[in-house]
Amino acid sequence: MLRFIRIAKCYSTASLSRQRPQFHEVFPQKRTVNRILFELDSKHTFGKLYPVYDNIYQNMQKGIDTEIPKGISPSDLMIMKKVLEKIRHRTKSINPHLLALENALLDRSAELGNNDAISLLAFDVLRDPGHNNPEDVDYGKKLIKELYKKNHHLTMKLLGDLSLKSGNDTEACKYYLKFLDLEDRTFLAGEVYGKLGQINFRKPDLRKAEQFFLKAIKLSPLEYSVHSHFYLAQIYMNSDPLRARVLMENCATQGFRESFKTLGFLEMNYFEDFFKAQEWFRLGLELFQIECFIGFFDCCAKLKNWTGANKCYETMLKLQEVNANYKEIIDKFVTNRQAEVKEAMKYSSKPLSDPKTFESAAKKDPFVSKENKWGL
Amino acid sequence: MIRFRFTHMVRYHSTSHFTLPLSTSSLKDSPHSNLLLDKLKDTYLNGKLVVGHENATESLNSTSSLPMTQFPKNKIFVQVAQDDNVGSWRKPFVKWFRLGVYMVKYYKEGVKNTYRLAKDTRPLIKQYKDRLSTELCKSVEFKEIEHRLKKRAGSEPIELLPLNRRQFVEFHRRREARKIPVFFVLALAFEEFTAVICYLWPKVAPHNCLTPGAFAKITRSHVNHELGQISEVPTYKSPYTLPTDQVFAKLKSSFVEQTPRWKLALYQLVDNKVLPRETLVRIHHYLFVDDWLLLQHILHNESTVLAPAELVDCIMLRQLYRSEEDLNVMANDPQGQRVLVWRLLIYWAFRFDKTITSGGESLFAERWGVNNVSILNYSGWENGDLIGTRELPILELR
Repeated sequence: MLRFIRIAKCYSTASLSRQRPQFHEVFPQKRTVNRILFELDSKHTFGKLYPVYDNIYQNMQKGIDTEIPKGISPSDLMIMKKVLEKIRHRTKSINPHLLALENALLDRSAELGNNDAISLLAFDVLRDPGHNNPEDVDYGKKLIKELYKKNHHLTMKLLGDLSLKSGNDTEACKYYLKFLDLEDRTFLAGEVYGKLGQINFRKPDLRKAEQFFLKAIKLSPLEYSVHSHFYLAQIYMNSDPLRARVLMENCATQGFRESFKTLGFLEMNYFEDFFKAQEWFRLGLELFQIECFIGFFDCCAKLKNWTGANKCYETMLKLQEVNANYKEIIDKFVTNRQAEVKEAMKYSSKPLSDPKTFESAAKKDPFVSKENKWGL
Repeated sequence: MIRFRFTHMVRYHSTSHFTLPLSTSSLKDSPHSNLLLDKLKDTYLNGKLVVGHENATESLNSTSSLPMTQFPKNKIFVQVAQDDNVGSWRKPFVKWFRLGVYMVKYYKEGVKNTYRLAKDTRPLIKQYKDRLSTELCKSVEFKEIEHRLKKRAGSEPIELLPLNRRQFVEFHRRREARKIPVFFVLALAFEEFTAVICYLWPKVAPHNCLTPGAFAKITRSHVNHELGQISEVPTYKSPYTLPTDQVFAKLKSSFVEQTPRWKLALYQLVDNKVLPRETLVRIHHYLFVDDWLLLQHILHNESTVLAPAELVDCIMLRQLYRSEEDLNVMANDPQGQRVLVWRLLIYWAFRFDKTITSGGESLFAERWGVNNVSILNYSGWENGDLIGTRELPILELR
């Protein structure tokens, strides 16, 4: 039996090591890491931290505890974890090997007694108690109680998050405000302000929500405050569309999908910039947002780009076949824009196959349609 | 119909195409569709809305920042004629002398009030900068959304704004303080003849130093040339979708934000699209907030007393007058006063009917579209015309 296990273990290690790429292949560039370390106000540079990363990466598969060099404290390990977290956010992609490394760093930091790491791990257990051992859940609760008594800032925030997840806004508000008493000028405070803004937005207490979102935007970098930008843009949409546009554009730079259609309609109906609106709708088209199809068609109709309108209409019909939910919307769309659809149907994006027809058409009307705004 | 599926689309489309302007024939139909007009009519005819000098509502009126509505020449002349202490041979000179003295005092008081106003409203500058109208417009929207979502009864008033109407208009009128230095020098140089200078170039004087004659000259230069020429309710136009020449025409004729001609010429020269249009947005916001504050007071208070000077100002800012009309004369004549009040009521009834402000369901922006400047200073009467004394019997019919 033991022999079997040993063979199986050897086999799995061998297969994993085959699957796992070398550390230098998955780890980001030195320049990127150094920049993030600077942002996080780290006292160590890439040169000092890279071997630690490498060691932990190599040892995590073997299940061996890596020995941490003397100069590296548990909070430095947390900074190393945050570097990987930031890269995950910025690239908007998850590398499973780096994610595993992140977890290993968190575990190691908790073992060495970092309160932030302990708090994160404890809440990880509590977030899904059904899938965890009851003993672990109890132990997690005990740890959180102790950290709460110590007024640990991250514990307050995570308690707020947990309450918010369970739908208890009042409780969440209480914990978030306690967190803000402890620290109110950090990135994390920006996140908390954003959550408070969302709670007040739902209440609704829009004046307070606006103030919280403004603080969130001031404290957090754009990638962490996209929701605050979006909600604030919604708040300003009627009274200050110019400001709303800027905020919404910020959301769009982060690939926030809801922003494309809103920006498209704003440009089309308020600022009357059909070219710009078309560009926003085009981004939405790639995500198959039906509203963007409608907006794009309207823009094409306004610009008399009937070929584009026809192409868009045909794609909508295809979409209707795939998704039954869109059928009703598209039917109403056709009813409301009968004249435009009829006009668009006359044009085709396909090249003329019959050269004689093309020649006669060219003789009658030598004008060649120019599809882009520069007329090229 | 498809618009109703997407809330963000509704924001830029209005329901204004369902709206008809008020007219004599629509008033004869009983019951007619404009509920707000009924409410306002009841309020006015029951004496809850009054125009008068006495007991003017303090939170609404700021008469010290407005010009006189009656020139005291006749009053002073009569006083002198009846004064036995003045010899009859001296009377013609004394009459003009006393009028001159009165005018000097009037200017002195006007400058003092303008300066005091600028000083008192200085704290608001720190808080709002030049965005007071936009901020209050936003506050109104917030309060109305909250009012709607909390499903309060329609008759219950919407929560008040941080400023009352008096503070709001005073903040707007504080810009007259810029004219003080030039006017002070003129008054020093010309003394009682400053009145002549002010008559020739009325915009030199601060607003509360104007005589009715000079004021009439200003009103004539800001008259709405589209009166009676708009056959249908204008469709939605945002400041950016409005043709450039119309934007400049609106800016030239508006008295809310008096953009100097050199500035307008500069905008045209450099083809600046944003600044003139944002000025138009500010005008729209100012009128909206002013309307809202007045309506809230009228609809939810037992008594509203509007000073004649404020009535004249309201009518002038909304361009609800004809070029041949003298607003000051009308405001001091009972029948003329009624005409002016009805013009204002019709204007409000047209704009605010079915909105949350008047107990309806939709926000102003939902009803008319975001910053809809096509209905800026639209009278609300058929053909975009104004009512006169002829329509009073129909309007006041119970």
